[in-house]
Amino acid sequence: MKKIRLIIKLAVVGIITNKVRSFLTVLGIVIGIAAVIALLALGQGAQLAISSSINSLGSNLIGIIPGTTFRGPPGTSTNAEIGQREYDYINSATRFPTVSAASPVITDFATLRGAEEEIFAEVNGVNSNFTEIQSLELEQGRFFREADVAASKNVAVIGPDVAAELLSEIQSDEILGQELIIRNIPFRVVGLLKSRGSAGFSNQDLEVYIPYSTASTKVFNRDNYSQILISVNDAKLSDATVIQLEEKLSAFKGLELEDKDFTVYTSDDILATASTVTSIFTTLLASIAAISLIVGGIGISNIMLVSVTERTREIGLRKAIGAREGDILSQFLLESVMLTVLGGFIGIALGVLLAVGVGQLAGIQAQISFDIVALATSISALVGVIFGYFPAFKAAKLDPISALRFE
Amino acid sequence: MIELKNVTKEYGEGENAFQALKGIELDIAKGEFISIMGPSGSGKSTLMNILGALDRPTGGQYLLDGQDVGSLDDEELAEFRNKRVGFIFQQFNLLPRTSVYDNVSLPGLYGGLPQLDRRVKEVLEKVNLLDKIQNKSNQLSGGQIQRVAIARALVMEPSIIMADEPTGNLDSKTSHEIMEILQDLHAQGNTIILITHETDIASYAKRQIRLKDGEIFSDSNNKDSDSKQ
Ligand SMILES: Nc1ncnc2c1ncn2[C@@H]1O[C@H](COP(=O)(O)OP(=O)(O)OP(=O)(O)O)[C@@H](O)[C@H]1O
Ligand SMILES: [Mg+2]
Repeated sequence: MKKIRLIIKLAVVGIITNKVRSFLTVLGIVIGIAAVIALLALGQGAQLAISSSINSLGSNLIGIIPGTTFRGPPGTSTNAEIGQREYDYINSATRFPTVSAASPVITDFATLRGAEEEIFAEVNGVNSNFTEIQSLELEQGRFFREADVAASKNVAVIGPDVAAELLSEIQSDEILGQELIIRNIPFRVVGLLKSRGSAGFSNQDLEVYIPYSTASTKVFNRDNYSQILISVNDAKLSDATVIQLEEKLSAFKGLELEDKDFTVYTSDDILATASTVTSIFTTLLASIAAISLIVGGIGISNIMLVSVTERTREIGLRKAIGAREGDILSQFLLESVMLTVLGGFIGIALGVLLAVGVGQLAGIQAQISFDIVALATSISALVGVIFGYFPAFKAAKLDPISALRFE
Repeated sequence: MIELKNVTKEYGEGENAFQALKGIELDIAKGEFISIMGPSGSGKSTLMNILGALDRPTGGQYLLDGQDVGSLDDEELAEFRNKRVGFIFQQFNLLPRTSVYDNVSLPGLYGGLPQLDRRVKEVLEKVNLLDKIQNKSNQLSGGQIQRVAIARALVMEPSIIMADEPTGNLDSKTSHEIMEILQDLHAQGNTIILITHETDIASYAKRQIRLKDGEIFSDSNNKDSDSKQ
């Protein structure tokens, strides 16, 4: 115990005495570890944001989009169309008993104008039952009703950020009934949504819902839908429903199953796609981190070799008074591990700053967990052991006489 | 206690081979105080390195307390140096930037000595340096450094203390102070082997050995040494 304490003390003294050299030596480690921390924290943050935004869609959600390549909802455009015919077919209650609700979705971007300001935001034309499919909660007012859809009324339900941007001068209790211009067409605000937060790459609070009939005939002038969103009675029935939808809908469209011109996806599919994308990203950054750690490790090896040469006499003296090879080996290994762990700590601090900074710019909440810090510390210690071993071994094998006579 | 039988040491190989020791025969009894003198290059340090198990002889036998030192492996030699020998060198005796206390503790740490703290203070008291116990090695005079080295040599209560020109870098007053400490240690029963160039330093020892070209040239008892006590 005392021996270890002394070795640690001597190593600390050595590191402090050669502050500048120690710092330059560990620079590679600092950068490597900072990269590791930053990318893990941001990666986990992005992953969390994506999965939470996807989960907020609802876990028993099924979507049908036109086309056979999965391009991800919404707004996929293709020649193959999905429209009122398909919607009516799916919507007939007896045909798909596991479907609890279905709604067309016509999504497009449009210029919105309030009293003075103007913004560009996502507008979704949906049915009145859309709140059964996606968990939208209202802060004020109501979602539009069946009658509004049937009469293609100019009514809108807006997200809190739309209200904040366009109707900022209006008292919050007077927002209902305000006028909102969408593509030069006046709408009346009938509901204000609760905040769902910005999730990863899209701001869910900056959106507007209008009746799909209005969207189709007045605003966007299109008959085809971006997608049809469906919720099932039970998340367990989701896969079975997908198969049923695929089979029956292709038959309805007069197509063989393998020639179908639409894609049925579940929220799990999106999650999987998103995870693949983020993990490719993470792997790429991880290789950069690995390279800088290897370069840093070579630096450690070099400086430890210099240190062994400089301290040849010290090693000779230690051997003369009874140090075994193992004592010398462990001393130099410990020194290199302490150097790299020190570099690791600086790197962790730097990486956290980096992750928080970049996260703020990119709108991602960096996730810094104990696991990440522990992993980074272990990696830096491991680099110290691997790259410190050869110099330490060389020191341990020094012949005491030649070491003492060394000049 | 120490028996050297026809010990030789050769450096290099083939044509370049150089015989630094040529068949040394030497017996040293427990409690002796011996000085080894001789011209530079005569093999004094080489002999001490073999006696201190820092090096192995090329030929012959070295017995310490009946044990054949030549048959020990590296690990056993390290333990031998730790427990049986205390070294004092001419220079670079102490670890740089390290306190007196830590320097003196070091052999005890390698050897796992129980009650090390008490022992360290005990030996520092012997060399009268308790007041400098927290000084770093660069905050000591040359004489103090050698006293710390003596204290360190004593920590493990070794069978032999070996000093290779311990006063080589000191002025004559400090040299005599160091020699008086060694003489006290001898009086307390320690076996001491001292290498030196200077006759007045050698005269502290009771037995004086002279080396020349790797051979023992003379081996005599010194009556004079009693008067110095
Ligand atoms: N590693 C070595 N390789 C070759 N020759 C060596 C080696 N070490 C010592 N020698 C030679 O062995 C001889 C004895 O050296 P040693 O160091 O024992 O002399 P010394 O009596 O201690 O001299 P000094 O009084 O100068 O310290 C010298 O001629 C030296 O050159
Ligand atoms: Mg010498």
